[in-house]
Amino acid sequence: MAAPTTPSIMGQVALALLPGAGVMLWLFGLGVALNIAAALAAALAAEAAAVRLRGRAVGPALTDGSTLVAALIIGIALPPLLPFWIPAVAGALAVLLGKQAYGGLGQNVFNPAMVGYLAVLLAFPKALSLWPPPEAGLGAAVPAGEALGYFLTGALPPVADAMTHATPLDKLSTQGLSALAPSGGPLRQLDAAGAWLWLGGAFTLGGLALLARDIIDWRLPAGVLGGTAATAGLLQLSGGAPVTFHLLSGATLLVAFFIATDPVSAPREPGARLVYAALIGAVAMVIRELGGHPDGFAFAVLMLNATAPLLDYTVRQRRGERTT
Amino acid sequence: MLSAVLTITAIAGVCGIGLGAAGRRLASQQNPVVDRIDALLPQTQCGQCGYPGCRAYAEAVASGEAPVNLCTPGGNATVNAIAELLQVEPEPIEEADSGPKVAFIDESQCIGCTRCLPACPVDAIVGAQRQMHTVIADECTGCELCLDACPMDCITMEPVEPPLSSRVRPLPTPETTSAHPEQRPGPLRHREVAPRRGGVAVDDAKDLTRPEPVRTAPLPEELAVPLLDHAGARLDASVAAGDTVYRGTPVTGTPIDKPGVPLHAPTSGTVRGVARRPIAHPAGASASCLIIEPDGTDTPEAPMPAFTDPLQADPDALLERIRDAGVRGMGGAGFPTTLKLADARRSGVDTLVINAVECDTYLTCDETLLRQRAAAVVHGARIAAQACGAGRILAAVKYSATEAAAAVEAAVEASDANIQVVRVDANYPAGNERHVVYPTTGRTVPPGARPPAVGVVCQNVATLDAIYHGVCEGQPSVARLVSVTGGGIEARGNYWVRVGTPVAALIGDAGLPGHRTLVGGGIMGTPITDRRIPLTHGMNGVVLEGPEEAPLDEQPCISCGRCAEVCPEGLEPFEMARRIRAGVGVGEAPEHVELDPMRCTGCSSCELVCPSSKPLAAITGHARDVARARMREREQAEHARQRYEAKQAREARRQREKEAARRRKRKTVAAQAEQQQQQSQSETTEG
Repeated sequence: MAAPTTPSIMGQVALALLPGAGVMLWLFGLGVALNIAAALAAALAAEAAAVRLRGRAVGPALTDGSTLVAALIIGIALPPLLPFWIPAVAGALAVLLGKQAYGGLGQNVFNPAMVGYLAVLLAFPKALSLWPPPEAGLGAAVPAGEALGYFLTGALPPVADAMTHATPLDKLSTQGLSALAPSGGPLRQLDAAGAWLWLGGAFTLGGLALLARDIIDWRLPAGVLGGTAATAGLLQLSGGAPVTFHLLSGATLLVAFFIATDPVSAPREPGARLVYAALIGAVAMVIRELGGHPDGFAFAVLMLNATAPLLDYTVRQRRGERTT
Repeated sequence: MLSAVLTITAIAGVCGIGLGAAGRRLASQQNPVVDRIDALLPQTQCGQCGYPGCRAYAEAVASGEAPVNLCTPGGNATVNAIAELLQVEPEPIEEADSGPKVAFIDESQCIGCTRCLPACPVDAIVGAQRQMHTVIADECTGCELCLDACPMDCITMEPVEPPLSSRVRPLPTPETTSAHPEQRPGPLRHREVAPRRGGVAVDDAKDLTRPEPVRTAPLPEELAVPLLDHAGARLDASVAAGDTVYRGTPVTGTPIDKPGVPLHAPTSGTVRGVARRPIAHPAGASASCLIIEPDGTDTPEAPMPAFTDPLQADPDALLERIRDAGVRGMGGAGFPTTLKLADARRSGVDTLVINAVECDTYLTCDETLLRQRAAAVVHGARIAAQACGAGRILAAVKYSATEAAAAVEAAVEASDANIQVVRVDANYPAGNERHVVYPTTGRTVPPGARPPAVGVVCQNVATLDAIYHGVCEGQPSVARLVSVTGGGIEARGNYWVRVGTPVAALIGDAGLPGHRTLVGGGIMGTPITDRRIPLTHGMNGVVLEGPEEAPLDEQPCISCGRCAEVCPEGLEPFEMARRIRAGVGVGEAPEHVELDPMRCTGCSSCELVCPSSKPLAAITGHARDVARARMREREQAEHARQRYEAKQAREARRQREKEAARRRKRKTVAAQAEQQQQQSQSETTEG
């Protein structure tokens, strides 16, 4: 095996994201691809402009693959029915505020994709709550024509109300645990759960491939899943949703395998990494169960990003005290 | 309303207490800027900057009121260091700073007035009334205080050459490495590289030279023997221009006070004199070399008497012979073998390890030597064991060197020696003497220690061959086997090369311009740009890289942590590189053991696996050089201070003694006067 290079590592991460993106495309239609394309185009343009302004070589910065990975994650995280400027703003802000503001690749404190995603989540809360119900088949959930029309014009198609659908996490947040129980339309509810299961399986597949190829550190996904399960378990005792629901729904698996594993914004010390990842899971669970937002992973990731240097410092300091 | 105010107040209070506690518990360990600038200043307190002392200048620079370039004694090195710390443009000092200087007395003009003696604060001038005075160059601090004291103006400041060990290799940056790819430090790009914990599985590229026949390099038109000892200090030539030398004639004296090992003329010919030549050094240094023009006959000097039964000989006699034969560590370090063996004997080692692991890529000179001369190496190992008192001999051979291992086994069987051959794992690095101890003996060398600490001494095969020829044939060590290889070389193979042969004599001008030439192996080799660089005892290879072996352009670090995973010393190269390039803590004591550049052995495993192709080993090497140079400066400053205080104490004592003598004299005079008075009184009364 030839020595890995940064583009080859980023390329493998992007490849590992493809199963997840494919399942999203299959469940939610063309909108996913449009989101990814808009985010990628805006992110590349922003990267080129910022690198040029900073007086660095544009070529290597565009081809290092980090922008591609960030755009893929943004495209997957956003709901599949959006006007083009929202994913574009997310992609551009991810690069400009999340990465280049700190000095480019390798220097950033926060995960760029999460910076871009959260910026648009807070700026366009209504648009970002619009999830169509998952439906197997490329055009089944949203017809391709309507998706493209909304993407280009921003005018909500007439079927919009019919398409609006509360994700399981939305239901948990607004109506409580009872709404999750399959009572009204048992078949439809089961279908939905099955769809989320498919998506989780695709993310896990990609993540396991990265683990097998030694691209990501096992401590990070293990920590996130462990922290999520432990906190969800505790909260379940006081009447929260079941642990398996939290592990399989929303962004849990995407964060565990693709976002928390970003080595730049994670701590460097193995011990610190375990604590960091477990705390991401814990904070996200607290937000999900007790906070106002349906999903808390993006907030949890940024919060723990900020503490990464402190965790590293503490671990090194403790080891120094032990050895001397 | 009230509850809201109370809640907010309570939250603010809790946050305030939390922040206060955090501020106290996690207080920054970094020195404030003033302290760090002060640490960069030379502490001469000379006031040449216009501020009262170094501390005051540091404060002025930190507050921005003084430019960074006022420190004359510190020179441009200090200017650059402060500019790097403050992230400002360095403004070089205008006068060309020519490095350290010491006072020199023109003895033909010195009248012996002794006036300069008290002027010297560190007692560096010796002399007596009407005798010529001389400056002890090693003690002179270059303060220039003696210049004004001399009535004859016969003292001048002469530049001195700083020792090689104080040279600091430049810090590689993305800009410098892309502007000068031929000087870029770092390993060649290998086809296969896979990280392992504490090492790297790497394709060793040894098949390039393994099947080639062994050849002898022709004598060049001119040989240049660097007059340096292992520590980089200068040796004095004992021959002069025009002298005729033979192969094996000693060309340096062996001073009794220094643990030097003599150098020998590599062939017969005429001494042309001493000239400065570039040498293979990470900082691109040059050194004084003895230039010899071969006469082509290669006439040998009369050999030293051979030992008839070296295995029963007195260890001291063997050590002396190993020294006189000029045997140096030929695995790369060039450390005098006699000192290593004597140290091993003092430590009471029980095991000698024949180190034939040769883990650096591209090199096959050691295994080729074993195939050719296994019997001599085995005999040399028994002599070395006798000299250091080791009762057991083990031979460490790499897995891939099957033929070499068979040759050693055959040689062991042919002799009556009890030597066990151990095959060592193929991962890199395995051949560093600290790493070879565990797989052979099962003992672990503690961090920072050398193998004799656990009763083991390691010797490279080429060194053992040289010991055999020195002891059993009386022949000094003047040649070695060198692997000439790499994608850019046509006639690859192992060559017998005389010490002092320039690299150009081996590879001509192949691959110029653009492709890197490394002296050493494919991983730890030093890139050279001047092919006049002469070969020395420790140089085991010359590697000319092909286009696909050139390192890739550097990319930003993504903190993947592979370098920390493979580091055999447990360091964190990416974090070190980040700090060193930011100028944080360079030359200071490290904050954590994982970040101590002095623990880096320079094996470059980190660089092999780095996806961003960062020159990590050279960045760490820069910090190591700076730390070493700082340490040396501090030692010198401490030494000068001690001499200064000793002188002050002596002068105070002398003053006291003088005072006491004067008082005694006054008392005696007074007593005498009284006596005389009494006498005269009595005389008058009598009269």
